[in-house]
Amino acid sequence: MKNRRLAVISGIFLGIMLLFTIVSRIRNSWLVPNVSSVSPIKSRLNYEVSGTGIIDYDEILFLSVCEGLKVEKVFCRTGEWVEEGQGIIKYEKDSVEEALLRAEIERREYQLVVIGAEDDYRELMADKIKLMDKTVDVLKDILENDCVQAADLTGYIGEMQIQARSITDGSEVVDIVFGTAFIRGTVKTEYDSLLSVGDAVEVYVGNDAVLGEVTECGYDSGSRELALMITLPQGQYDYGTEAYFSFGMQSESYDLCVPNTALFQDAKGAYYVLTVEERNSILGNRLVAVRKEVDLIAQDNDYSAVKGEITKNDKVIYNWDREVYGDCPVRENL
Amino acid sequence: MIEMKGIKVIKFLAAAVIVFIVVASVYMLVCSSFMAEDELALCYGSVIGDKEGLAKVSLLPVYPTIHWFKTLFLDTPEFFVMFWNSCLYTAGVLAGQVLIGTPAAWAFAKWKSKKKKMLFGIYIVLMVMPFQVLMVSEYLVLHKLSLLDTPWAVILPGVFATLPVFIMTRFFQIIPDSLLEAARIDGASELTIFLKVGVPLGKAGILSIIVLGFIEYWNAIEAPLTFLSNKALWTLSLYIPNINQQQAGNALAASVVMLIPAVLVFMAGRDYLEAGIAQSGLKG
Repeated sequence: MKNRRLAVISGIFLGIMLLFTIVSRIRNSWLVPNVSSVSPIKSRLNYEVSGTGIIDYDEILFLSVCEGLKVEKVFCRTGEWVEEGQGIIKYEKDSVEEALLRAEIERREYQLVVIGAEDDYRELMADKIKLMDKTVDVLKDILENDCVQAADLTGYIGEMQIQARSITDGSEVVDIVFGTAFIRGTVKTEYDSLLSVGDAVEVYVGNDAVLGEVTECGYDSGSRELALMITLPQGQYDYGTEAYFSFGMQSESYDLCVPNTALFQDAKGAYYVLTVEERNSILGNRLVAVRKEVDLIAQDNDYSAVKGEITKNDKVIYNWDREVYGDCPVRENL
Repeated sequence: MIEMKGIKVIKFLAAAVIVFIVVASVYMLVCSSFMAEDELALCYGSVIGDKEGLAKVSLLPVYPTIHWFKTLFLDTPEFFVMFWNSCLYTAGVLAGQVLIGTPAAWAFAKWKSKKKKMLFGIYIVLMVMPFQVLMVSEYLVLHKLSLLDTPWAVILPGVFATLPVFIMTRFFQIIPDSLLEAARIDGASELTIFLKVGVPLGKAGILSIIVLGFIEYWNAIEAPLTFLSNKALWTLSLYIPNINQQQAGNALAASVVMLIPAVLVFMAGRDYLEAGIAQSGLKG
C-alpha cells in the first residue's frame, strides 16, 4: 500500500517534470530573439554630404544715398532683380531741390575755404569738394530723372534700408549685388580629408539642379564644422534664397565594413558588434550572440568601417526582433 | 546498570545532535528556496555574496515567494535537460548493475571455482579504491572506446561497479546450498535455479543495491564532470554549482526539486537500504 502510494507520487512528480520540460522549452524558444547576420565586407564607404546655404553674389555696388531727401516711393525690395536704369526710389521734388541747393552751397563754401589754406587742409577740403561734386551730380541726375534714383547696373537689390515716406539721413544702405553667384554652407569636419577645392557639387535651387564647384573649403571655428563656398555656374539665381547642396564621394577601401545597425556603443562609449556563434550549452549546441570589441574607423550613412576583434568570417548581427546582448541565445533568420 | 543507562543517554544525545544537523540543513534549504532575493542577500550575503559578517538564520521567510520555483520551472529549460540526464544515467546504471551484477554476484556466491576467491579479492580491492584513483585509467579506456562525451561514459563504469556485486554476493550467500541441490535434483538448469530460486530469494539484495545505487548516481559529480565535456550531457549535480551568486535562489529551488526523487526512493526502499548496508558492512 505504502509502495503503491509512493509509486503514484513518483509518477505524478515525473509527469510534472515532463510537463514543465515542455513548457519551459516552448517558452524559452518563444523568447529567443530572431536575428539576421552578415559577414563584414571589404568595401569603400560612400558619403552623401549635404547642406544648405543662401545664394549670394561676389560683387556689390552701393548706391549713393543723399541726406535730407524725403522718400515718396520705393520701387524695389531686397532680393529683387533690377535692370540698369530701372527706378529704385522716388523722392519728393522739393526735398531734392532743397538738398541740391544745400550741396551746392556747401561745395561753394569748401571751395572758398580751400583758397589760401595750408597744404594738408587743402587736401582734406579737396576730398570734401569731390564728395560734394558727386552728391551734386547724383542729385542732378535724380532731378533730371523725374526725382527717381535708378539702378546703375543690372543685378539684385542686396539691401534696401530706405522706406517710403521717410527722410534720408545719408547712412542708409542700398546696394545691388551682381557677378558670380555662390552659396556658403557647412558640413561635418570628418569629411575634411575627402573634400577639396574644385570638387563638383550638385546644388538644388528650388526645383532646378545645377552643378556647382567648391571654391573654398576650410575649418570654421564658430560652428566647428567644415565651411564650404560653392560657386554656381553662370546664371540668374534668386539672391537671398536658400539652396540645397549635396555631393557623393568614396573613401579608401576598408577590409571590414559592417552595417551601421550592427555597431553598438556601450555606456562608456566603447564600440562593439555582436556576432553569431555556435556554442555548446546545456540545451545542446546553440547560437549565441558574442560581444566583440571594435574601433570605428569611418562611417557613412549605411556602413561602418571597423577594426578589432572581428574577422571577415564572423557573422555580425545587424537586425533583430528582440533585444540582443552578449551571450544571449539567438535564432538566425535564414 | 547505571553505566548502561548513561551510555544510552550519550548515544541518544549524539544521535539527536546528528539528526538535528541533518534536519536543520534540509529545513534551511527548503525555507531559503521560498525567500526573495533581498532576503537571501540579507541572510546569506556573507556566504554567497560580498557582504561581510556572519550569515543570519531565518526560521521562516519574511515574505515567502515562489519566484525561484517559477523561474526554475518556466525559465530554466537547462534544469530539465539535466534532470532527465540524471534520470537516464541513474536508470541506465541501475539497470546495468541488476543485469550484469546479479549473475556475477550469483557466480561468486554459488559457483565453485579455484580462482573465485582471488577474483573476489580483486573486486574488493577495486571497491575500496576511490574514484580519483581509477579516474585516469577509466578515462583512457573510455577514450580508446570513443565513449567519452557520450552517456555511456557515465553509465558503463557504473554498470561494472563492484560494490553492488559485493552486496548481492552477501545476500546470495545466505541462500542455503541444499535448496539449490534440491532444485538440481528436480532437473532445474543452472539458469533456472538462478532465475527461479536465486533472484526471488535475493530480491532484498537487488532492491538494496538499487536504492544505494540511486542515491550514489543521482548525486554523482566526479564521473560526469570528468567524462563529459558536452554540457548538454551534464547532470543535475553539475548544474547547481554552475549557478552564479545572483541566482542563488534558483540553486536552492533546484536543490529542493533534486531532493524529491532521492527522498521518494529512500522512502520506498528504506528497509532494503538498511538490509543492504547491514549485509555489506556488519555481516561482511
